Amino acid sequence: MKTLWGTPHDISSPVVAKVSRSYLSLWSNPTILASEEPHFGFGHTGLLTSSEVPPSKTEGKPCLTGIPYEELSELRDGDIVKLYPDGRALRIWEEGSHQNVVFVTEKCDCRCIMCPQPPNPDPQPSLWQENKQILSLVNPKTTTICFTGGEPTLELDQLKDLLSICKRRFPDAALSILTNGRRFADFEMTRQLVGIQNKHLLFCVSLDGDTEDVHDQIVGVGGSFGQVIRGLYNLTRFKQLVELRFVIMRQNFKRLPYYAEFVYRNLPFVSHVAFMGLEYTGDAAKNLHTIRIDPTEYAGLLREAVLHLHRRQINVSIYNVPKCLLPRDVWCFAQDSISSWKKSYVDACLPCQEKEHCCGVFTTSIVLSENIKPIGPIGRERSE
Amino acid sequence: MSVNQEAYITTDDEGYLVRLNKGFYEQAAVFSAAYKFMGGNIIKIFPVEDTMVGIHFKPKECGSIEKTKQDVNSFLNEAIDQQVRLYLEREFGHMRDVIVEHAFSQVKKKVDPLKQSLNILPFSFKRLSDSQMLLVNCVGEYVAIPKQDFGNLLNKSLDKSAPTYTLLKSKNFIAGQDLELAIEMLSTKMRTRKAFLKDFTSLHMVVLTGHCNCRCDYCHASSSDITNKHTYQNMSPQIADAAVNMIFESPSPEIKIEFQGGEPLINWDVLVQIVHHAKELNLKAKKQLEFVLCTNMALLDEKKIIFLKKEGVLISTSLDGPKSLHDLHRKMRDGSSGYDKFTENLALARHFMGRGAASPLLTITRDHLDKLPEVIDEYIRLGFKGIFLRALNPYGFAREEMASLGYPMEDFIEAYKKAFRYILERNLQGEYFSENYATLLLSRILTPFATGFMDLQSPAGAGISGAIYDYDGGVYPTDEGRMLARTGDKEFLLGNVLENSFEEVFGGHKLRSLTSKSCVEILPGCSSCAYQTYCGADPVRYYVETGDVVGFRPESEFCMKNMAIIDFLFGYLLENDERVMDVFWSWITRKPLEAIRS
Ligand code: SF4
Ligand code: SF4
Ligand code: SF4
Ligand code: SF4
Repeated sequence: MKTLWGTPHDISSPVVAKVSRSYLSLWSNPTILASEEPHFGFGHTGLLTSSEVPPSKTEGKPCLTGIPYEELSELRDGDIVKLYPDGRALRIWEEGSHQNVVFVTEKCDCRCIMCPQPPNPDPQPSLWQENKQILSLVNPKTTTICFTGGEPTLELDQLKDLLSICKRRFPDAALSILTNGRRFADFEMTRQLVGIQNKHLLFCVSLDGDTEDVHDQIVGVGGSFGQVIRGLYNLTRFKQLVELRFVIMRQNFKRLPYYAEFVYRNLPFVSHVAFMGLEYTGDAAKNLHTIRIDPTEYAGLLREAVLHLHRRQINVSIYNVPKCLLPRDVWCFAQDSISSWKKSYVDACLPCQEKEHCCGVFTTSIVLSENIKPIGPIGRERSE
Repeated sequence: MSVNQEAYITTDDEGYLVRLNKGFYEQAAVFSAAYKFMGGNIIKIFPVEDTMVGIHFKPKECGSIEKTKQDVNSFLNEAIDQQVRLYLEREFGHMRDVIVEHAFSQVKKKVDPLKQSLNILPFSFKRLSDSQMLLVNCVGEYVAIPKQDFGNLLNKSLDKSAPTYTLLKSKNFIAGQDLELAIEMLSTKMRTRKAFLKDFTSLHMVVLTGHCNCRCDYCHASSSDITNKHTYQNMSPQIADAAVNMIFESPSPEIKIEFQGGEPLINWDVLVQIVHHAKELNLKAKKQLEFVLCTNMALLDEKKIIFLKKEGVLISTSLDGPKSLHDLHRKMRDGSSGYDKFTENLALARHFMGRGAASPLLTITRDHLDKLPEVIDEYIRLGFKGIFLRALNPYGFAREEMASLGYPMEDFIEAYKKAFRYILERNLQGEYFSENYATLLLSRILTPFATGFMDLQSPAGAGISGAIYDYDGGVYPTDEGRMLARTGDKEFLLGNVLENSFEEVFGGHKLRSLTSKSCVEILPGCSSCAYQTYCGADPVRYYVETGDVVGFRPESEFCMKNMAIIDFLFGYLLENDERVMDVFWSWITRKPLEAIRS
């Protein structure tokens, strides 16, 4: 998430508010003015400014000063920020973006070796109230909202509440829940969640292998595989939309073609399968040596898996793998999937013909593939 | 398994004597293995010495001593395989019942938690070569593994790190600790595969008339002349009404009414009446309703075509190849060329109903066997997108004319393979054209879904998936059933729409017994066949072949054909050439190749 830094004034605890760029606040909700001038405007509850000096009268309203001008200018009307006492301003919602997420909880009941955001060992205060506040601030015309964590289903009451709010406030938005799928093995829990009857709700379920041996080793909890499969069966009993997510790493890359067949035979009802490249951050960075794999090593198997599903009319995508590391005949499945705030390109990308349609690389990854090389005009990129 | 597979072969004046050690071979294995070779041999089984059983092979009159010698050698392998099957059956036989029960019954029994680290789940197998085995599980997933791994599997000494171990687990051939999960997955897949059972009869064929304006040499329906105003073989409006009423009593959410003959256009008024009547009933029933007209097209005209288009009636027709081949056995009673009329009316139908107006069926006589590529070219030239290569069936006139029109099944299989290769080549060159029997089998092998084709179902689709209503109101489980009746054998008559209720016809003893005797899972020969999940049972055909719906696989042409074609297709599947697989999937999904490739 984009983070801005400034000098804090009157911020004793975190504050969530919507950004406004106009001097005069016409919103009934709390807004915070983003401005070059050190002035609170009218009706705003706080200020983000590039000015080095605070307004003369702060009236106890939270304020961050000295934010670099270019950074500040990226904030737009409708963005939602969270200000911290240490001078950070986190943009937790980007107006108009399709990549906005709501963090339901930091808790998780898995211990994935490639977890980019490892569960926090100290229990944090619940995010429930804050998330409700965020959803009440979000532009009602919003088209996509994604719930993530941690494992969102661990806070079932919150999740149900948030989904109900979405149903009222954003009835037509495309909602998704990123989940490790274990808890859906509980029929009753599944029934309660789908019982809210959101119009467009996609369950993005992680399944990282085609057998319990492979999957359970990756997620670090025995019996997970069985729970996920039963969970997927439950979701289909309710005719829910399901996306499967498979993160490719050293432990499972050889399973790719078999996984594709496994999905087709056992879970042909899924609406989408996503194969995902690794983001080397969090535990993935910690476990780099055991999980690391260069996409060129699995490109052939990935191609096989993707074409296997495509032939069988199952929608399939590749996330987070740059095009230059993939065979040309699966480029059309590679999505520009990395959120803009953590996506970047390297020097080699400069002359690349596919840059426009490439996901690029994670700024958050501690290592990059050594095989990134620009793609030239058709037919010339692979001279070897 | 302790192994003492010692076997001895000796010759005598009449044939061969095989002696097997009873310590290894059980009686049931010996009998099942011998069953397979009873087509060409007279086989006697008797005890010799204390520890041995003797199996004596003598060629039948139709056979030869060379063939018997081959059979004896194959028998040795078969006996081992059957013994392995018995062993496996003990291992997982109870599991099969649990899976079936999980799949189809409301109350589910708990699986006793056999916490073995390696549980073998139900599958059947066959030898691909000296070093490779093909395994097929009870829901149609297959895997080819080295023979050595197969041995290790039986001994439960398969190494967890071996690729075969993970492969078998991924495809539910074996289970680890969570046996219950494997059973849940298998029963889910079984339900999907047998989904056709849930809906009951959806295909309803209505014979509008026994008359025809054609007199094809092979007419399975034994059609009769229509001149001299004979109309006694036309379905009456009263019977038509009763038939439609009965059709709508079927619980199936989909109803397909197929007009058959003779030539159904001869009884046009009743056709119109049925369409209207069915649509009216459907206002309330709200089923997915479809109509198909099976016609030689000669009697079509603009007015009729406009009606068919308006009411959404699809046309199924006949085309036997280029003019010379088509007119060879498809003879118009008035002496004109059926081919000329066909192409003329095809153009007319397409003018009103679009390119896909009609799809033709081919009947392969002896004269077609080596000319299939020409037939295929003609189909492509006329803009058709596929062909169904099926062997001539012994019904109606064809049964009488088998001597001049028919051919040994071996010849058909050879011709089929040649034609298939030709079609595949055309596809690889970019022409979308499917072979529809292969497409059916491939769907059964490669997809987890049920296929709606009556002959490739278990239990057989006869009666429970489809039924036919003859012009006199008689109801039969299959088209072939009424063809038999036409030549005097009413074995399969289930009842009459005027006299019997739906329950009497479809819930009666006859259909129940037919259905229960047509499950490949229990038919002798089929029950141990690796292909049973792909194949099916054709009880009426078996009846014609043997006088009994159970049939006799070692001599069955139906079995021989399916076995050979499935073997042939597996050749391609195991080779797994990407370009060929793209073609197969374009057939299965009915999508052009560009949509299958990326
Ligand atoms: S990757 Fe997801 S499921 Fe796995 S530990 Fe992290 S938050 Fe939990
Ligand atoms: S060179 Fe850069 S922009 Fe081009 S495909 Fe590779 S990663 Fe993407
Ligand atoms: S057109 Fe059909 S019904 Fe008529 S004679 Fe030929 S095969 Fe028989
Ligand atoms: S009929 Fe089919 S299932 Fe039965 S033995 Fe022959 S090939 Fe196998």
